[in-house]
Amino acid sequence: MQSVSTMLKNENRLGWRLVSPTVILLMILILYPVAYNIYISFFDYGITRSTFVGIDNYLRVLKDGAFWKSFFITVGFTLMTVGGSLLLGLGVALMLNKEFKGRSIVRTIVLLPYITPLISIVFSWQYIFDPSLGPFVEIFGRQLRWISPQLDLLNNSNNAFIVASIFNIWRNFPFVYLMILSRLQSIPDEYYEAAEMDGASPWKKFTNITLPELYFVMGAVALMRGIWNFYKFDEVYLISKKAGTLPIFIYERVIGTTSPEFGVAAAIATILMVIMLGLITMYVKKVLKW
Amino acid sequence: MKKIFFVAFLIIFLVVTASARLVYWHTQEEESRQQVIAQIMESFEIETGIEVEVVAIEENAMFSRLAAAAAAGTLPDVIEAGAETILGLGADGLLDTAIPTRFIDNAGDFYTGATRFVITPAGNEYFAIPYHGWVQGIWYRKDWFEAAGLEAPTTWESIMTAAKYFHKPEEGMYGIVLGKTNDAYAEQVFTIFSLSNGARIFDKDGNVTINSSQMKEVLQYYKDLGAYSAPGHTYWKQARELYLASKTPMFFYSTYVMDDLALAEIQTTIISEFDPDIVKNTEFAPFMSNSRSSSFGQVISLAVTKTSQNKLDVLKFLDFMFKPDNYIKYIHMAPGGMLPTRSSVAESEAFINDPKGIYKSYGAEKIRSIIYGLENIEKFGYVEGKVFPEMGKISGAFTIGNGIVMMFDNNATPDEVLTFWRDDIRKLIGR
Repeated sequence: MQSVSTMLKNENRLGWRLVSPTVILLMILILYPVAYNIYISFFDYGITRSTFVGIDNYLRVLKDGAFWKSFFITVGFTLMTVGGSLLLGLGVALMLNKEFKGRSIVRTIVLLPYITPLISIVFSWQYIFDPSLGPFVEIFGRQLRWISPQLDLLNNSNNAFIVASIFNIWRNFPFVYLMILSRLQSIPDEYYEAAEMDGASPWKKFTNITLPELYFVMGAVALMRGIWNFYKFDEVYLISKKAGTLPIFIYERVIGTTSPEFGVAAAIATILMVIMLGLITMYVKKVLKW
Repeated sequence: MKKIFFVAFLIIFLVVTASARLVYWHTQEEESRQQVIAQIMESFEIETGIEVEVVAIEENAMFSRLAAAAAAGTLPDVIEAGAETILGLGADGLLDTAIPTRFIDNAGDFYTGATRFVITPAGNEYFAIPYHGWVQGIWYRKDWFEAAGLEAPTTWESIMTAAKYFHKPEEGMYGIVLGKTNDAYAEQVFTIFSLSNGARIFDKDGNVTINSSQMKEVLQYYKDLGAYSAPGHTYWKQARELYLASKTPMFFYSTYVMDDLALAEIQTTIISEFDPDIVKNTEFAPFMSNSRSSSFGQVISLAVTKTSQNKLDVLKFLDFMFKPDNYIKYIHMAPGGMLPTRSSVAESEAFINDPKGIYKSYGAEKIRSIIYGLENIEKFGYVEGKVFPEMGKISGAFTIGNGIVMMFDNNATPDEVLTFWRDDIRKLIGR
């Protein structure tokens, strides 16, 4: 008869065998690229040759003023877009949680920015705000004369970051709205009825029932949106190449140049990974209390 | 059992090694062009039995794709790319110079204006074989200029006078459309102004001479002219749209625009209504003068990688690509945009008779004068027969365009732009 410990060992071994295909796949798909990225960050990596340069790439990045400028733009972009889409998503979810005529149509319309293909939206925005051919400047600039007919909202390096942020909030708030709405609908009506019996005002009901119930879903959505937006490339690059966020900075170092600096780009990616890991761990512990 | 495995392995090995396969990278991303290239490659495969894997690559991504391919050991055999890319690849020691040199010397009819752009810094070999090219200049409304009694926009003075005359922004009419964003187009437009004032980035000894008084004059002129240009960060797209919509009398564009001007089916993809008279009312100024005369353009070449294991097949491939029938079919993909680099082809009737009749609508004489314009094109990276591959890095980092954006977005002075350019170039090329 097998002892309990041998049985446990066997069971353990079987467990490992069962999960091993997944573990191996994950290793190949996640760990290998990460490890390779860290590896090439120590090299001056060219087309025909690569030379080991130690931590030179890291020092170059950390001493580069353009990197830090881009970093803080990205932090600003992330905070602004996460905060903006959370507030807008929450507001719309609260409004659409109430019964009214035509609610289902409005709910569908609200989703449009999120479900329309990105490239079509970007082209529409670019056409609308084009200073020489678009309707925005034609109406408000040349006809009503409210704004300068020279105004190029999307491509001016001074305000591109703000436009990219507004675009991101507008495009992504439906996702936040969906998440919050689904949680809102699962809050039992009894809570509100009990609060009403106690004479609570609508604001009191919101702060004491709705917000605490939404706390974790909003926290989780903020985390997801934060990670996505910190690394967001497509939306930002397409709407304005001048936004200057870090993914664009990396892209221009590697792709849009005839002398790609893979080593430097890998070093930036590694630095960002470390910063993000730290921030996420802190956030998960403090805010989500996992 | 072992025997069966061995035989199977041998068969697979023989099949893999016996079927020759060339890898050809090109930068013609448009789907219609890819279809033509696929047809040409199919004929090549039928004729020679050599299989060709064709990969379309965005030119900006060429270097990163090559680096990835080099790491994976899958470098292409033949690459089609512009002069700066070829120079950059040549400087990295990636290109075979023996095949192009022998090919150009044997053919004997390549325009020297085109081969200048693929010559090695030592000056005795070639990095690639020029395949086609385009010329860039100002396209303008001849009828409007004549009605207003204005001179053709070929000098700084005549350009400024015409831009001032036509500029009525409140009516949606702009004097000119300049390149005002940080891209290749802005650098191209700016290059013509610079070279026509003798302002260069390098002197013939390779010293960086960008902060010269001539360059300062160019910047000041460009900024002044910007006041009569269409608003915003304009680039080739707005330039072409505004001109076709009759909202500007002149714009900078390469000869690629010839079919947009001539063909209804192409023009209506850009603006809503076709203007059948715009071809005959449009004139091309392929050069610009101030203190000297200059033209701008590009030459696209075929390069062979050093690592190619199929040099014999590559030779067959090049012969095939330059056979008159195939060559003309290839460059007829984009009439105007792909001008031949060999005199024998440029002078042939078959070349002038493109299937859509675009060259005929301009007239053979005009077309040939544009092709001869290829002889005079100048670029920052080529000074008095000397070649500076470092220019590839400066273009790749959009240094020129970034300075132009500073000038228009932040009202930077020419001196501030020159300081920025000098510092940026030092950072990029180390001098």
